[in-house]
Amino acid sequence: MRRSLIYFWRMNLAVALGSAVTAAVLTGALVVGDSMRGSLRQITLDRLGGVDHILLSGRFFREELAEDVSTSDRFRDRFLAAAPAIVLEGTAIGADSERRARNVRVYGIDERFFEVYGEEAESFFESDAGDARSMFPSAVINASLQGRLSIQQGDSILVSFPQPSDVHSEYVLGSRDPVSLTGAVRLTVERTIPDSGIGRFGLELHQSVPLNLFVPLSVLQRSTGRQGRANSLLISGTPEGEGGNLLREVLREALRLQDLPLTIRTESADLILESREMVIPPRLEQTALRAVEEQGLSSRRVLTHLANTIRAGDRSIPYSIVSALEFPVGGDFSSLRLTDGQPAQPPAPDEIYLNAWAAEELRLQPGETVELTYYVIGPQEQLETETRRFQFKGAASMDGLGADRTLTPEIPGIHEAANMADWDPPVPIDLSRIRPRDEEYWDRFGPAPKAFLAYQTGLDLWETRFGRVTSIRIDAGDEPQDSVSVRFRQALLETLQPDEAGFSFQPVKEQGLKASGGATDFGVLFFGFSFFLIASAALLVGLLFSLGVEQRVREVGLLLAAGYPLKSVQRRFLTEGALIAGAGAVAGLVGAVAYARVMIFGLETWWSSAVGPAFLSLHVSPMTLGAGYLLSLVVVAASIWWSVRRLAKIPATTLLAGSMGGSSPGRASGGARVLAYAAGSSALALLGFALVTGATDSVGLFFGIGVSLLLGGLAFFSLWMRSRRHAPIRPDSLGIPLRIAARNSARHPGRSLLSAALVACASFVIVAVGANRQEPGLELQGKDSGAGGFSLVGQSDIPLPQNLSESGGRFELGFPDDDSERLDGVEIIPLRLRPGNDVSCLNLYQVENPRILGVPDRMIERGGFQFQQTLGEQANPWRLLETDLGPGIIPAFADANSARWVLHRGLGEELLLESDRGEAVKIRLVGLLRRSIFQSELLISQDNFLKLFPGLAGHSYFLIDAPIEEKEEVSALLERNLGDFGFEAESVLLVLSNYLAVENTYLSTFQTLGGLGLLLGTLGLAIVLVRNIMERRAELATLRAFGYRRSKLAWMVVAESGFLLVLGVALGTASALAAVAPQLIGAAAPVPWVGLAATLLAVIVVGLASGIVAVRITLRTPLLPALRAE
Amino acid sequence: MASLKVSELQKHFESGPHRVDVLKGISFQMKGAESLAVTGPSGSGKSTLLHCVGTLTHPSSGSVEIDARNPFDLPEPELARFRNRRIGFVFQDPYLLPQYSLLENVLIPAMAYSSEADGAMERAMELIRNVRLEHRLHHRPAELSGGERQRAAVARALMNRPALLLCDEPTGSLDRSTAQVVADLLFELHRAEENILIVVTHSLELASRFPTSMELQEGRCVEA
Repeated sequence: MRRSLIYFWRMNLAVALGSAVTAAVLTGALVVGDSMRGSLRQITLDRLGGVDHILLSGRFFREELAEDVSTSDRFRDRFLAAAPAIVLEGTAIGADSERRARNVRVYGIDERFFEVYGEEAESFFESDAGDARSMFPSAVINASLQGRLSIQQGDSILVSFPQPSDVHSEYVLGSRDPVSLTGAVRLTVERTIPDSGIGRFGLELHQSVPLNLFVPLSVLQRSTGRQGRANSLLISGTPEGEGGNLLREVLREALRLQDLPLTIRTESADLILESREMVIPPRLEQTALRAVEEQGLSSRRVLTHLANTIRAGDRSIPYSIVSALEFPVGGDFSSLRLTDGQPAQPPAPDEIYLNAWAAEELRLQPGETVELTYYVIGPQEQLETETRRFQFKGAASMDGLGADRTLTPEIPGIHEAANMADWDPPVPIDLSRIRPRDEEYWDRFGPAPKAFLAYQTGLDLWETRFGRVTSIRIDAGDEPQDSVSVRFRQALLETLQPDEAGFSFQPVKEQGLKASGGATDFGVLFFGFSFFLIASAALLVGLLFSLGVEQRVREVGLLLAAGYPLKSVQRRFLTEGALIAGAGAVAGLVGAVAYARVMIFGLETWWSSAVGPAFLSLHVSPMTLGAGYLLSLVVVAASIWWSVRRLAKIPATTLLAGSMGGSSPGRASGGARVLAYAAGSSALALLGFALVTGATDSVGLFFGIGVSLLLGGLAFFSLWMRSRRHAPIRPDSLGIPLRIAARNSARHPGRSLLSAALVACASFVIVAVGANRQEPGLELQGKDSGAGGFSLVGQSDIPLPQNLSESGGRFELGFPDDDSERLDGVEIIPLRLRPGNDVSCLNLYQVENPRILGVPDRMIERGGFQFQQTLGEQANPWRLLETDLGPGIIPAFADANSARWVLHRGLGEELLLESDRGEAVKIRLVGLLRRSIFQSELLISQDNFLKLFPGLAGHSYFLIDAPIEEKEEVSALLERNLGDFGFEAESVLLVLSNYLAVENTYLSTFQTLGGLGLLLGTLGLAIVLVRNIMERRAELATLRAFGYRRSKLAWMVVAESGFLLVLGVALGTASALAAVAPQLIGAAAPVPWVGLAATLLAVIVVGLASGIVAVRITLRTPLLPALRAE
Repeated sequence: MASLKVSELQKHFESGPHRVDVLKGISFQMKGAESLAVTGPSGSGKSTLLHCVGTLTHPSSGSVEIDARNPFDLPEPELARFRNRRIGFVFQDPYLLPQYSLLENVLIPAMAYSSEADGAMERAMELIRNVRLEHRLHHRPAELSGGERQRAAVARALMNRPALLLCDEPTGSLDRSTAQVVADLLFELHRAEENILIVVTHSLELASRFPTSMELQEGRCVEA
């Protein structure tokens, strides 16, 4: 065997090279996958440092909570350190450069952060606020932000962010004033840190570098008006097993009432639990009531509201407080007593009590009608005025609850006012309506309610998503109030689960490392991309080895004739092949690393649209190399076995004669005939079905049509080759060379079919993939396009509570009249946004917690966009978002690409999500949008959005329908007026281009590698050609004897190969075009025909060129010896 | 009338450092309707002589004149055309192209220069009739017997009415009776076409049917 290996070294070297190419490409693809995972993992570790868990709350808590947590014994067993931080998202503007950057991550940190992150804190902030060297507090920014703002060290920047507010801006008594919603701080850039380590710190799962800005915690605390408080807790440690439960327990023990939005007042006879948010959040209400019950106490709920007017006939009282009270059975509450001294009975839903002062003011008698006018929030989140009529049930005496100012929570702008004339509430009021008598009341009773309703009536009128209770009054009974207060407070904190207050730790590192497996396995992806390259290389090995076997065919014949068993001969060749392939594959492993490097280089340069800025580094695992080696060896061995297997079918005598036999075409089998007609007709039927029904996006139809046509075409070609009824070629026939070439291809039907099939399959993939490449264009103007008929998409860092579509809303936002009028004809649909992970193909991580958009009714009614699939057919599929799917299940839309490739979910499938209140809900995909602008997020109805995320205020995503020719102007106008909100408008064309760039880049990668595979396949064709020539030397010599010139013979042989090449390309192209035809008709987007044609032409040219080279080399050896009779 | 003049024909091959003299000065001449059998042991140079006469191999020295013209003076493309028009070959193996029908195989020489192939179809049909294969017109070679294939090869060789018909062991792979049929046919068509027929053979039986024969030994003509 050793001698054989050495003697046939040229052929063996060629086989080894083929094996090396197979191993290099196959293993290289796996190494790309390793590198992607390794790089994402590296980024995750880099950006999080030592941070393992993060508590990111919508509410601010004591910064000492970090210390309280970290000093717990249980914490110290498993964790290292805890640090408080303020994490905000805002907009930064370079004071000199005037350049703006959105989505800036603003981190308020102190030395405790560095302890958690695991880096030296010294000299991070060299100067703190008030440092004499800089006019403004210091900030450290990362290089990306510096680049975006074009600023230098020492420059000042203005950072704006959503100003935290206790009272929700969408609560009826919340502030909608744009100024109060926006916080800002001017900072001096002290230094720039690289985009690595802390510079890359971030909580989002994305491979792109965030725009980071770090300021001292104290500075951000002052700027947000939250001294001594933080909204994030970062934890470091290396917990084993379930660390989350332990942290939750430790946190529960460390939480104090001050960490919650709750206060306990003791200035009344009752113990009063209130919320700084004006209404007690529903889950905290339930917890409090549970604690009350556990302590055996009695309580009553109160819902207090501001009435604009209490009217009876022509008399009225302006701006009064009204309380809806529970009238509990039992309990010795400080009660509402009537003027006759009797306790007030629970009022019916249409009954109202007024206190004596008000009743007298309105001169009411029981049974008379009282009108209550008050503000509510309308469906568009705007303030609306409602009036309700009640029957006056009686007058409460001006003591006890009848004049109890503790029934009213602290209303900003009211509570602290000395006079009513000084009121500055967050809602519009007409101070001129306030009379001296009202001031007198204010002086005597302050915000004590003047009217009382049943609690249930109050809920009917004023319950909101923020809560249903302004206070819970607990009956202290005979027990000292302080004692009850301590008892209740303790019970409340013990009963409370942190997530009920919105405190939940995220195991960010664990999640990040898990997600760094990638949304797509790049190993598998590149294996797929390289499939034709691998197949071609394996085929090449098979063909080369066959050639080698044919060279030694007499040796095989001799061995068989000498009595060697066939199996033994086959085994000998297989062993030789395996040794050669094994040696080649070892060399291929070096090539694998090189291939992976080239692919990574490609991903960072030519295909950078798919993965974003450079972040990839090579990661080679011995395990992967081993797996790749074995896998490629199996592929190559299978190919060699296929070559050796043929020996069993050839008689020894034929082998001894130096022939592999089998040169005569057999008859066509009945199966081939049935396949040809069945596949051909089913392709036509499916194509017709697709065109008639308009099922343009069915994957099944695509493959059905394409594969049927391809199989049918190849089966017809096989039938043609085996047919005996070819039109005879005569000297006067037209196109003799081509006809000769075509007929010559029938010489070895199996070989020709294989060659044509390989080329056809590769061409099919290249064309199908190429035809799917799309560039957004004019077709996006349509309402049923991926842009839904909108021309701009706007996003703001700070949510806008005002309706941009209405002039009133724009006025409140400070738009000058001219600008506001300019927008009169522009439709702007605001959507709510729950921040989360980008689920588009732009994100390489395998993310689970997506960005969510809340779609308002207006959008649902309007409809538009193109759907790939929906659950149930509806005239307006957007109505599906309103479907009631049962408790805990929310209907949602996703972009089809995001669902398939990133979320890995199909239509009707679900993903889990955690609501603001820590409840797990299922999001079910009821519609998949086709190539839409919503690839980064999921869409749910606004109603469901508010149920899931009641704490999120305002709109930060805007669909803008401006005439195409005016979109630049509208965009500039909006950005100019809403700059403080971090508003930025982008052309939908750009948004879609960015998404399509990913898709197109993957397609390009596939095309490029597929094209390379096809080119390698053409080398296989050249080898087939060489084998053909060697087999037909005597025939060719005969033709030479009959006066055929050498060049003519060469042309005939090349034409034969060219015929197979062109046939394969034509068949693959036609099948692919038929398969994508329904889709192309549906999409009406341009197909890059030129690029496609160029690729295919290049394949044909290279194929012919390699054929010519092969023929030239082969025909150089004299043919005449083949004719010798002796 | 066709004529062939071979003068002092020598052919040697280089085999590494050695030189092998295959033909050592062969001379003879023939004219139309004449025939010659070339015999001799293996390696005596019979096939090489045939290849030199058939312009497939350039002689090392000496000359070959066909119709008073030395074809080796022609450039390669012209030489190929000359061979196509003036010389026909029959080999021991018929070397029919398996993917073509009998008719197409016979037409092969005409299709090399199809622009000059007026009347080729009629000629092919005539030859196929003459070799008595008209019932096999559209059959593939694999469907023909050994004798039928060789008859088809004879028809193909005569397609362009060659002046010179050169046969290298035309009956070498046939059984005796089939060989007899093929030989009869060769002589019949030779007489009809009045070409010069040279047959290289080991068969003394076949050689005995020729009016003239030449025996080669070690590249020399020992008997004529």
